[in-house]
Amino acid sequence: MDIITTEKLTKFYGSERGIEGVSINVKQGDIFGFIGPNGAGKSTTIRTLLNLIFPSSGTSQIFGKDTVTESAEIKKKIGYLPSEVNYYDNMSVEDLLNFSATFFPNTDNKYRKELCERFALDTTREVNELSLGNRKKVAIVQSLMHRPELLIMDEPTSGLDPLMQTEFHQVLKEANKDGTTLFFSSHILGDVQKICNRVSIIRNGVIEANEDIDSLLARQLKKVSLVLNDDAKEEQFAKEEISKLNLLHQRVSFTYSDSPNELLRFIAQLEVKDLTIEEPTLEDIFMHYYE
Amino acid sequence: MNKALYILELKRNLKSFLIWGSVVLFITVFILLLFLSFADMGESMQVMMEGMPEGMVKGFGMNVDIYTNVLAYYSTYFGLHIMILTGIFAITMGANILSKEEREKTSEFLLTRPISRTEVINSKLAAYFTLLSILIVLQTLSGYLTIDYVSEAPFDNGIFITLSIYGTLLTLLHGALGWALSLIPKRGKAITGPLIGVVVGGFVCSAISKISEDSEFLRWISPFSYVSFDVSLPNYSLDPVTVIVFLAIIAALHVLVYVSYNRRDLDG
Repeated sequence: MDIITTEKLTKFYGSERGIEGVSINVKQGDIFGFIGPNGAGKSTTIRTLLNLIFPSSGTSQIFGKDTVTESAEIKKKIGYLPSEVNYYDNMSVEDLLNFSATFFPNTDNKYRKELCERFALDTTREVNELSLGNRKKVAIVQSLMHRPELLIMDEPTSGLDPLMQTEFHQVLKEANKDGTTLFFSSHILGDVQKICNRVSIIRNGVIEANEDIDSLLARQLKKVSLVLNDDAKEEQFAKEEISKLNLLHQRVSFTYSDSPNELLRFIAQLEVKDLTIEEPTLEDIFMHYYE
Repeated sequence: MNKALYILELKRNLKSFLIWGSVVLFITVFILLLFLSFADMGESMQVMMEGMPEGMVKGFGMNVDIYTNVLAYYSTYFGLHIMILTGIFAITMGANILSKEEREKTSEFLLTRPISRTEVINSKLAAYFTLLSILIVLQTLSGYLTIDYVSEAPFDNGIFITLSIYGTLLTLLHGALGWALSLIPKRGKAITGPLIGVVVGGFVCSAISKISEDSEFLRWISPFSYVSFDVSLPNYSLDPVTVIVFLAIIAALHVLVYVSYNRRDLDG
């Protein structure tokens, strides 16, 4: 079953383009990654889906319902985790969660308590005294406590420390197992790789690719830096899989686009003093595949 | 209407309501009590009033017999101080109750709950009318009771009611202007200053327009000009057309808010 479908969704702010012709499709049970650099149109897409802004043209449905005309109905079964968390001042965490719960009759109080404990959230604190990371935790609890059928997240891990990120990924996986479809926007490829099964890549307001994470992984790209025992020679690295080659005496760096096994075999033939293999940035991927 | 949002708005506006409410009640009662001492000086005060420049008397809506007739006395400062105070309270509350969400970026949180934009306005409008009604009722009651206390002779209830209805209409119109002005998109700017300007400026325009014929055109732009607080006029009574026009404009401004808010892109 389709949870989210958008058909040529377009949003212009005056003459400035937000998104153009965005068509994506999220199926029930998906952990869907929506990736792109900052300013690519991720938030615009999400805000349009949530009817915070109105599309200039195109349509979108969630649970088969129109996101403009049936928005309030749709939101009964949605959780939303914003990138920037802004809450009412002069409210304790407890008050805020209670307030939010009044909108969702199916709030699971036991689950809410469990989430607060797992994220070590002090619910007696005032919301406006909280650090960025703690506000994010409130937002996480708030977005999940009514066990939504769809959880929409905009840069969810920003502001969370690594320990909490791991806990958060665990919570997401459990929620997904219990039937929540996840829609996850991020500019960090690693985040998406860890958890998503399908991705859409957006850049400059336009969808560049809709892919399974497996096919994206199959076309892996690694940034490799080597220090050799002897000076490097260019002909040693004249291979189809190698691009952006940089040589300086014993130091070599390049981008490698084949399976890790092939890469290791290739490196094994060399006399290597030091080796670093890094994740490419999203920009590297874009430059490599989509230009 | 959403009950939780309604209660939240009552709480969020309670402090400002208590401050404005106390000031309005204090001025209503305190200035009326002063009448007791003016009344003792009755005639000499009236002689002084007659010696004042006519323009000033008209501009401030003062009656010649304000120190001998309690309703004339009350209407003078009701049409000035009380109307400016309740007007500023109504216009700032009306302008902020909706736009505050966008300015403080809480609209994203609120509107991702299952609530329609119409319900948001309904709930906020209900909270606004609740607090404003309490303010108007308390002001009217305290005014009536204090007049009753300081007045030696019986006074005309009809005139008091007319004054109060005009006052309520003017206050509701200022509030509705606030609601409508809050829809003009502006990022993160507080608008309290200009709002006070609308109310006080409206009063000043109306006052100046009464002073000379050259400035009479100013009356057209001021809501103050369309209601009369001059109880010394013969046959001072409620004009049904004025009431209907005021109610129609107030309703139209609120409809505009519903229509516009249901179509706009949210900032925060």
